[in-house]
Amino acid sequence: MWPTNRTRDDQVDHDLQAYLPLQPRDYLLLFALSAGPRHGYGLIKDVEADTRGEVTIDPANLYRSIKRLTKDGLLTETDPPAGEAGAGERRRFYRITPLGARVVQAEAARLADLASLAKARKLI
Amino acid sequence: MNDLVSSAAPRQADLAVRSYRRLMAVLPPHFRHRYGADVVDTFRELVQDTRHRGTFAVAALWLRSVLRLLAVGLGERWDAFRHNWSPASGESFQAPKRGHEPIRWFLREIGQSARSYQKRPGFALTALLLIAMGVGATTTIFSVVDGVMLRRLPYPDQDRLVYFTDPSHSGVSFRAWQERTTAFEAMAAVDPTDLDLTGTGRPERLASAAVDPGFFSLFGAQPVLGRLLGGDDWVGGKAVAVLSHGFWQRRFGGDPAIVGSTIQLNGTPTVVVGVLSPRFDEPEALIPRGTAVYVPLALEGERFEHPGYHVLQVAARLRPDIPLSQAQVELNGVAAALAEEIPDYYQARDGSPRPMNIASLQTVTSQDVSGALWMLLGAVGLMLAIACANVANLFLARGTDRVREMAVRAALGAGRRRLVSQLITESALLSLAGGLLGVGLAYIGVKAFVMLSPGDIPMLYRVGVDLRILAFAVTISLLTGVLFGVAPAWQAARVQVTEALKDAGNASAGRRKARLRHSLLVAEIALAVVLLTGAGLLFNSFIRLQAVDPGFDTDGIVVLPLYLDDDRYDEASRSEFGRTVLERMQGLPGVTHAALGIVTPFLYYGNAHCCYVTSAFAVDGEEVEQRTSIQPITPGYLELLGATIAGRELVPEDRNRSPLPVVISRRMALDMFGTTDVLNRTIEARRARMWTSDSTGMVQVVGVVSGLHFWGLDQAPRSEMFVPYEAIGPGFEDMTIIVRTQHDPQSAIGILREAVWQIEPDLPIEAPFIMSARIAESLTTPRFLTALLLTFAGLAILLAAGGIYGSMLYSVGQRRRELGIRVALGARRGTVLGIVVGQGARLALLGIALGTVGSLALSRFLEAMVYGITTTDVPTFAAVALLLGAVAVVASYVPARRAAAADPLEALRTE
Repeated sequence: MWPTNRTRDDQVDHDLQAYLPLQPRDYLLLFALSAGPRHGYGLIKDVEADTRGEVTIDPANLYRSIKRLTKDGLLTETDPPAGEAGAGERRRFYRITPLGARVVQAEAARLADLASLAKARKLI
Repeated sequence: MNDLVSSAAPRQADLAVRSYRRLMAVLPPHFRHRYGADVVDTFRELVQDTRHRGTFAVAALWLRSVLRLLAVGLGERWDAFRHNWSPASGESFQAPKRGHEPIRWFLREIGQSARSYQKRPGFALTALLLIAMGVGATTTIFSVVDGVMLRRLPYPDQDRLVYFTDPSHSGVSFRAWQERTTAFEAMAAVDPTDLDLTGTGRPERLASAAVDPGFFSLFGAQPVLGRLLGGDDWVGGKAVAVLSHGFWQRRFGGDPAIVGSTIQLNGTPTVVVGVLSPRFDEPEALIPRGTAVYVPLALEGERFEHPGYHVLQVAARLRPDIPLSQAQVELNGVAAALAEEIPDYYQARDGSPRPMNIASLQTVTSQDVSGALWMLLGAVGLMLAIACANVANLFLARGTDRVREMAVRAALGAGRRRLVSQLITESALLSLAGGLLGVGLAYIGVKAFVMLSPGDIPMLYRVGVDLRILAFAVTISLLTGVLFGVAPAWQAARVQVTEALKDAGNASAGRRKARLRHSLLVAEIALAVVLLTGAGLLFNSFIRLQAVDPGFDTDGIVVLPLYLDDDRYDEASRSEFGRTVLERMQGLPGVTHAALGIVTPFLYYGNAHCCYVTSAFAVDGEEVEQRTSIQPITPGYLELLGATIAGRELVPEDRNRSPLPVVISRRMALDMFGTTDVLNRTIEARRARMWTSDSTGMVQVVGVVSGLHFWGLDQAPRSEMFVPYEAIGPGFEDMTIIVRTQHDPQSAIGILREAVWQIEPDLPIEAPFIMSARIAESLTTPRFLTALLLTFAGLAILLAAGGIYGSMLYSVGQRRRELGIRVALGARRGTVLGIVVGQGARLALLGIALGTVGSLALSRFLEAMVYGITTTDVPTFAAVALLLGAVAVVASYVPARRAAAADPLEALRTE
């Protein structure tokens, strides 16, 4: 029943399991960052767009998540990308860490597994 | 209207961001420093994004974000708290890995607390109601204090706005301040006059303000339609007007076509050039609330050149770096200079300059009511303290009961922190629930206060329960619960486990706790005494006030105040109108008397200033300074009132006599001559010539009227001089008709009004009144204050009684064994009763003594509010002591009887 690509992840990243499952909000944030560095407002907008407006994150919870994900080493602050530096004088940008990239990948795989299970049972 | 929406949005957006930034305080410091600015920036961008979708969308975004911000603040603080508190206590207190963990932990804690309350619903309910009542009352009054006195006035740089005190000012003074001072950045004068609107429908007397060019900018007024007054509107007496938003809505149904149209004001066709924004609030220190029309004030012409023509209200804004005191120094200089230049008007009798004073506009706006409001806040504060003492006693009693429970849990391995954190949750839960209930009560309370309060409280429309008030309520309820709930609980948690398990109720700790409970009880009684004394003094004073004889017969008197403005009337036509209207009235069925003056008793009362007041007299060639109102009246006026007169009343022939015959008040006779035997004495009225060309200023006393309360029951009769109306009366725009009727006064009003309109169809008659009703109305403020304070005091008695009862009941329970043994050993029922009641009475006595001392210290704050008694009124103090003593005895008698009736065997067995 389990898709075959599952074995590879299990062996290489068995410590990634400690981070899974990700909370939906964390997943969406990391997912948005996997496209490139963003500032806080950009993240909110991306998540909103990615979920077709289903999920809106408020500023306070956004930075609470950023704080926690930073502490867990999944994302980190970064220099503004060239061209954006002048626009907002003191905007902070964030990028995903290599660990974060692997975690979001693992979570995506996990979700995909669950989805394929549902498909197999013709739930969706 | 579209203009309105788009122009309002930036302001609202700005407000949303600012209030959101304020709320950053809920985040713990470490989080706030690292991310606070980013959170606000992001929120601002979201608001920018949402703005085009309108006010509702912004409000919804704000609300959503604020609620989540509060949740994040709580969560972060909880994490920090757990992190700091439990580094050493090992795995069981491990910081949670996920965000929802602490919440689960918190819920568990709350669940446990709720269960513990469930076991004793009586305790929980009592404490809840006590807290709710205290918080509710305090929050209600605080809302009023906040709205009326603490909140900033809605004007630019309001903290720099000052008001020129003294009732009113002349054009000469105003110009001198403008030209000779440097401390002010802007200054404005306004003449709060009234105008008649005629021509369209019912004639209406409008509260109006003639304003100088500085007025609108000083108070940051904006138009919602058209424009404000400006540019050359002040040149050459242009007939233009700006309407208030409320008046525009009320009278013209908000029709935008009003701008550019013409209305009749005092018979002059006047072009409406604009409508003020609904956001503009009148500066109530200068012009009355509800001022409907603003017209240009032409500060020229004979009257405004005259230093004795005082009609202006003046406000100014200080320069940013100039303190009020410095501006005052500069004003003192101007006062001194004017005293040199125009000594007749600017020099006091002792040769010193007449003072010119300024005060902060905010202070002045609420100064008439601030004393009463602080007093009420003090009263509810006392009530809250009493409720707190009650709650503390409940918790103490409960803490003692729970010693065993705590000991068991400690023995089973619960850490002290765990126990205390549970106790904190318990009392916080209770006090927050009580606070919430209290806020609900306050919401109703504020509505009731605004509805029931007499109409003389300024800025009352701003009073309401808002976020600030909520914060206040939550703070005080948490303080209540935590301060008085945790301390006793902590004590309970400190017991030695083994000792407590051996015997829960019999340690020296028990005695210490009893002492604490008794101290609280004494404090409670003392506070109740203070509150009750205050209420008693006001009540006593109110009774006296109500019994004051106004000095005239009030039955069947109807008063019609009229205003015959200078634009349409001169002295001759006023005179003519007065004669005609009196003739007409005297012919009406049921009317026994009709007379007129410029004012009547109780037309104004309290601190109102009006009429022609002068101080410059001379007797036998010697100057006398005596502040006196000059009252022109027609013959029969004093007889109509039924006033007590020595000598005679004025008669029609008097107006042509020289010296002019006058009737003076007893007060004036005493102050000026030192005796009431003053008939036929002459007085020189120094500046009477200003008003009438043919008077020499010499008057002769033909009558002395005594005991006439003209300006309110609480105002002692003042210095008055009644002069024949024809002599100077027609010079005044004010004219008041007074009629005594044998018919129902209410129906007479309509008939009298018709009679006036038959002569002058365009004359507005806005506020006719029935004298007896008017006098009752003048008592509404003292009645309201007294009723409120009596209510608080009644609650305080209930609380104190409940406190004594509960405490004695508990103490009887604790001493069941001792009392049982006494009864078993043959003590009589009376003896047991005596022991318990005696204990209650001793505590009450101590409380009453302390409370009396406190009242003596505090009651002087009531001085301005009592009439006819001193604030150390012995009967009041004695009555309060007796009342509370009786309450204490009764409240301890019931538990005592229970103790005495108990079966001693039963009592001994249960131990």
